[in-house]
Amino acid sequence: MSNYKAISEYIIKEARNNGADQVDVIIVNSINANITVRLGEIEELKQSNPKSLGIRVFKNQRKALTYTSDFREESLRKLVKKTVEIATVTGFDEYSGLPEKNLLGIANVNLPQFDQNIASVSTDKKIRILKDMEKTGMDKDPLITNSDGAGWNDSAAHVVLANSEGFYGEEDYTSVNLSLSLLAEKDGVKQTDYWSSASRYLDRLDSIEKIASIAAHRTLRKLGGRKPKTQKVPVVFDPVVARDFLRIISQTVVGDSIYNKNSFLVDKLNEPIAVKNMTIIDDGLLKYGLGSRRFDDEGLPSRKNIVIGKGVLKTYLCDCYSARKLGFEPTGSATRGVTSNPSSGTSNFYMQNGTIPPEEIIASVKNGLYLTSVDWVGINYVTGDYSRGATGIWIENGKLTYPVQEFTVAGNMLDMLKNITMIGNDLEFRGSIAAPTFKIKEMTISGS
Amino acid sequence: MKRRDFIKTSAAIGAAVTLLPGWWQACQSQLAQGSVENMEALFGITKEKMKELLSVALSHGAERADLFFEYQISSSLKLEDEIIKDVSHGISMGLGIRAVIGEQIGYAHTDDLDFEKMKDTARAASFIVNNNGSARIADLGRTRKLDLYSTKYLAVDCDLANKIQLLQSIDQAARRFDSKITKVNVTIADEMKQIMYMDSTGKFFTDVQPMVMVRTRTLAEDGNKRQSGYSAGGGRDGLNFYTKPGNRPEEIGREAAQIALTNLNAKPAPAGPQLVVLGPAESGVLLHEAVGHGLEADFNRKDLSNYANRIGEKVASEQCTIIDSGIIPNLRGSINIDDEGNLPMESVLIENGILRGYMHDTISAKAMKAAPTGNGRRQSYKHPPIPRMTNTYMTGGDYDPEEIIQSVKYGVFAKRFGGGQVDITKGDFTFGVYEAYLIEDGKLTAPLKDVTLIGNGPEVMRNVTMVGNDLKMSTGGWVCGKSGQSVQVTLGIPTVKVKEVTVGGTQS
Repeated sequence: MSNYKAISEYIIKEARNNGADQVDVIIVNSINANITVRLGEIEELKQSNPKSLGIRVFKNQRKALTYTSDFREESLRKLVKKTVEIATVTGFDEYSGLPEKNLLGIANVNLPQFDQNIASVSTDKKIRILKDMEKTGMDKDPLITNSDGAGWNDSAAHVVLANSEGFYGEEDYTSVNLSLSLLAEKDGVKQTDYWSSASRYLDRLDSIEKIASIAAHRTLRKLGGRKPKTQKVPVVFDPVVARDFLRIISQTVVGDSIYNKNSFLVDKLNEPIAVKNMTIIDDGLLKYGLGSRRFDDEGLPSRKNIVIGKGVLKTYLCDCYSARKLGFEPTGSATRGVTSNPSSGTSNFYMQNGTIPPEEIIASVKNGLYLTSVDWVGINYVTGDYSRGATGIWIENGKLTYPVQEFTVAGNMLDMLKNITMIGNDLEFRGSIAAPTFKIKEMTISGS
Repeated sequence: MKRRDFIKTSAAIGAAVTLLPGWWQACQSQLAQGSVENMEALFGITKEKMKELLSVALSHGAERADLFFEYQISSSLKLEDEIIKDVSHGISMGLGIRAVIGEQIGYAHTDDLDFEKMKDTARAASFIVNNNGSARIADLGRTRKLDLYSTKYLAVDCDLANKIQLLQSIDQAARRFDSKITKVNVTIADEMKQIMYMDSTGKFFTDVQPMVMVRTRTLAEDGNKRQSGYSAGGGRDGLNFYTKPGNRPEEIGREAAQIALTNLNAKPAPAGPQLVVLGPAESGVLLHEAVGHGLEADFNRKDLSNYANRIGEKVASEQCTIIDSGIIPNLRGSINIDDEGNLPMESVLIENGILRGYMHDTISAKAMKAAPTGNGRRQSYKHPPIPRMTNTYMTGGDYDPEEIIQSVKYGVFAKRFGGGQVDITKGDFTFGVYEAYLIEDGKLTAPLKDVTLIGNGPEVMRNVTMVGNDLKMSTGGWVCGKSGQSVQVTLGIPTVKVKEVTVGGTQS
C-alpha cells in the first residue's frame, strides 16, 4: 500500500475490528543522501529511501507497540492482529491511553520546514562543495596535515500521525548538514577537531568558508596542549559546552525523568533553582528551528513553554502519560520514533540570550578555564553530579593563552545553576538545543 | 597462554548450567534454521537474480560489489512500577548493496524487495565510479563460518509469559534486597537477525544471529538522599542465558539494588592523579577506549590514529597482552562470520606490550596489505561494514586480586563503568565510573561518588604495574558507536593496577 492516509485508516479500522479500544499510527518515509570526501576523493556515496510505520493499540487500559517496514496489506493485517493480541500481556495501567480528544490539534501557524531546492542539488555539485570546503580548511595552515573528511547529509522526510480519536496530521521536513574534520600536527603530537552546520534550508547553512575556518581554528588551537594543575577556578562555557549543559537539563526536566525520579530536578517545581537572570525556553514553533513541528508525536499542538523563568523552575515538559502520572497538564512535548512509545522530550530548547559580549566574559577572568569541549560520560542524573573529561584554553589576566587537555571539570548541576555569574549575548541555533556563552563562578579542575 | 585458560573457564560455566524449572523451555524455536533455500524464499530471490544485481552494481566500473540481505525481528518488554508497562514487536527487512573501487564505496539500501527496486538500488551504488565497467562475477565458492551460538532457544520465539516471569523475579529480588529500594525498572530486549550475503568474488553465506539483553535500573531513597543503580546482562544467546550462575534473576536484581544502596553513602572522590586499581570485567572499557579504537585499521590506513605506523613498537607495559576475539561462544560481540564474509578470529593486538596488529575489514586489509581479521561489521543492512571490535580483553597475569589491593596504601578502586570515549588521534580517553571505592592501607573503605577517569591511552597502558589472574568477561549491554553505526560488543580484563590516572573528583 502506498497512500499513507489510506494505510493509517486501514490500520485503525483493522485494530478496531480486532477489539482495540484506541489506536494510533505513525508513518515515516524519508529520502537520504550522505557523501564523504576525504583528501579530495569520494570516500562514501550513500543513498536510501527507507520507510517504516509504528502501531500502538490500547485495550482495557493495556497497550502494545509494533513496527514494520513491510507495508503490504496482508502483512499489515497480520501485524495489527498481533498488536492487539500482545497488548493483553501488559498490566492494567490507569494512566495509559491516547490523549483526551479535546487536547488534540495542530498549531495554526505556517512553519518553514521544507526546502524544495535541496532535492535539485546534483551529486556532482555536492561533491564539488565538499572538495572545496576540505581544501579551504586544509589550506588554512601548513600545520594542518590530514583530514578525516568533509561530509554532506541531506534528508527529506514525510511524517504521518493518525489516531482513532480523529487526529490526522502530516508534515514534510528537510534537513541538510555539512561537516569538516581536520587534523593538525606539531612536535609529533596530532590533534583533531571539527565543525558543522545544519539547517532545514540550504541557503541558511553557514558558508563553506566559515565552516572550514572554524574547523581549522578549533583544530589548530589545540596544538601544544598541556595538562592543567588540579585547582578550583572560574569556568567559562563556550556555546558548544553550554549546549551540552542545556542537554543535561533537557533530559532531567521532562515528566518521564521526574516520575522515575531519575532527575536532580525532582521536587523542585516553582523553586528558584538557578540565578535570577536565567530563562530557559522550549519552543516547538520556533521559526526555522530544527526541532520545530506543528503537532507533537501524540497529536497535541506544539507550543512555547517557559521551563525556567528568571531562575524559577516553572514547568516540567510532559507527554500525556507522564502528565497523568504526575497530575500535571501535558505540554505538547511528546516525542517518539517509529519503534518506540512516546516519551516526554524537548523541541527547540534554549537558554535566553544574555547581554554581555563573550569577550567581556573572558576578560573578567583572572585565572580560569575557557571550556571548549566535554566528553559525553560523567553525569549522574539523579544527584546532578558532574565530572567530565574536557579540553579548553587557559585564561590568564582576561586573555586566552595556552590550550589545556587531559583533565576533568567537576561540580554539581544544582550548584552550577546557582553560580552562573555572566550570560553572553551570542545565542545561535546550531541544532535544536542552544545556549550562549556563560561563566560559572567556580568548579574543580582535576589535572596534574 | 592465559587467554586459553579463559576460554576453558567459559566453556566450563556453559556446561554447568542449572536450569530453573522449565520456564525457558517454551522457547523452542519455530525458525527454519537459516537454511539457504529458506533464506532465498524469505527474501524472495534466487542466486541467479542476486548475481544479476551484482552485475548492475558493477556496471559502472566498480572492482567488486556485495549484497547484504537482512531480516530482523526485535521485541521488548518493560516493567515499571511493578506493572508490565510496554510490550513491543518489530520487523525490519531490507537489502544493502555496496560497490567498491579501491578505498571508495558506493552504498545504497532499500526496504522494498521488489526486484526492480533492488536493481535501482544496485544502480545507485554503482555510481561511485562512472566508467563502463564489467567486472567479472566469480563462481560461488564455499564460504566457511563458525558455529558459536545456538538458535534453539531464541528469545524472540519465547512465550511472553516466560519473559514476564523473568522481569518480575528481577523486580522482586531488587525490592526484597532492601526497603530503601523504591523503584525498579527492568527491560528485556531481544532480537533475531537472519542475514544472507553474496559478493562478486564468490562468497555466499547465511547466518542467524540471536541477541538478548536485560537492563535493570533501581532507585534507592533514604530521607533526602537518592541514588540509582544499574545492571545489565545478556549475550548472543537465548533466554537460557538467565539460568547460568551469575546471570540469574535474583543475582541481577540484587546487583542493581546493591549499587544504588552503596552509592547512597558515597562521598566525593579525590581530584588529581591517583593510583587506580581497575576491577575485573567491566574495566575492560579501558582497553576498548584506550587501545581498541586506535587499532581499528581504518583509522590507521588514514593515518588518523596515534597508533598509526607503530607495529612492533612497545606501546604498553610488558604485562599487557590484549586480544580481540570474535570467537568466544555466546558473547555479545561474537560472530560466526563477519558482515562481509571473513572469518572472525582471535587477533593479538598487543603482546607483552608490543603492538602486533590492527583489526581489519576487507578494504583496510587490502590497502595495508594485511590479511582480513574478521572485524568488518555493520549495524544493519542500512550501513556498509567498517572495522569494529568484537570482544576485547586483556589476558590474565600473575597476581591474586587481593594481593593487588593489599599493595595499595592510598588509591581508588574502580569497579563499574557507564561508558567511555576516546580521541583516537591524540589518544586521550575518558570513562565514567559509577561504582568506586577508596583504597586505604590495602583495604577498600568508603564508596565514592560517580567520577570520570581521564588519561592518555599509551601512557596509561605503560603505567600498568600489576595484572591479576582473574580475567573476567563482562556480559553487560555494551554498545559501541562509531561513524554513526552502533554495534554490539563486549570486553574483559583482570584486576589491574595502574600507577597513575587522573581522577575527576572534587576533593583536592
